[in-house]
Amino acid sequence: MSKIERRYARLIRLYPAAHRAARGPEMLDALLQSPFRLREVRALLLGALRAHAAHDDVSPRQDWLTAVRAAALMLLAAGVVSRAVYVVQPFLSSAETAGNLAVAALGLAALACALRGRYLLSALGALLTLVASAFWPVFDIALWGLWGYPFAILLLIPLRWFRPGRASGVLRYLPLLPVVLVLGNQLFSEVFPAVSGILQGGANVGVVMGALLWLAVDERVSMAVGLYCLDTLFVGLVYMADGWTSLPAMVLRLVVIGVPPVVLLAAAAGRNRYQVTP
Amino acid sequence: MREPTYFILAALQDEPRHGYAIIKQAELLSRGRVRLATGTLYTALDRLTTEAYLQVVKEETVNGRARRYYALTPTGRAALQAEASQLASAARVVTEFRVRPA
Repeated sequence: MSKIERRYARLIRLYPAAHRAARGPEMLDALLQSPFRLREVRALLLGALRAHAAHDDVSPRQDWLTAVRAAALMLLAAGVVSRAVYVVQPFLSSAETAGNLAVAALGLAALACALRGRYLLSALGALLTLVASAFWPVFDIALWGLWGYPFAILLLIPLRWFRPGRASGVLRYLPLLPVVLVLGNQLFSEVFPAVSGILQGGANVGVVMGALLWLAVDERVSMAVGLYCLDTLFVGLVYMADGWTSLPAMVLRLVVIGVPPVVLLAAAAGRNRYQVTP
Repeated sequence: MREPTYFILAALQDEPRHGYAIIKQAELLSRGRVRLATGTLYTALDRLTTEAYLQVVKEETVNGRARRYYALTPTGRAALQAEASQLASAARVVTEFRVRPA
């Protein structure tokens, strides 16, 4: 086996096993008929990522529905985890702890229903969680998770009639992202309190940039993250309405929180239209 | 239809071809404009086969490796013809344009 053949064989090993078995030798045959080129390496890396994403839906509607489901799961997960972190706070009374636990459990039930494809039941669970939250009000970080429920309900209801496609690749693990972000934010606040705001902002920018880069592999991920960020825009608008400051400050804030979801959703929609063209 | 897809289909108009031959033929037909990387070609071949534009018509083993030959299906040929007609009518808008005398 020549050096070039070994290099290409290593790159082909990055593809999923089934794809490798069906296409590997054939691809290697085609690759070895021309000299080694860097653009072949780039195409193989991207091809392997796309094959793992298994994004084989050719209908934009189905892609959007799959992304809507992922975004709803992310919002529900954010709600559960941001409430759950309060269960273990030592300064709360036992009644408050029990309340937080109940709200987190309800949210978890809604999440489980959505994961099992019972979207209407999940929307009902999210509504109950929202109502229960009124009895055990929260503040700070948990409030952000709470604001996700109304938007999650809006996203879940249409899925009862318009079934989403199969989540694959990174999309399957996307509901874990808010869990990592919320726990990361908690960690930053406790370990680096002086710069926790900067670190949290950096993490959010990182997520948006990552979702933009992932457009090259699977635009459904960018759609889902864009929809998830759209919720922060609504939350931001509510906060702004509550605490009116100067107009330029409001416009600046609106741009800062509005640009990521708008850019992500517009770019994902454009990419999706391009992808479905044969 | 995207340009690479158009030239992949066009490369199979006259006879079935294997992967590398499709790359070379697409490059030739497009006068060097479409230079497909192998990874890109096989992603496209997977898709076009799934969409029934192409089919595998022959398979042989060369140097211990499988080599598949792809051919246009009637659906693929019809899609290519439709795209060519559309491009031709779009081109006529410009090539048959005459400036009206003042």
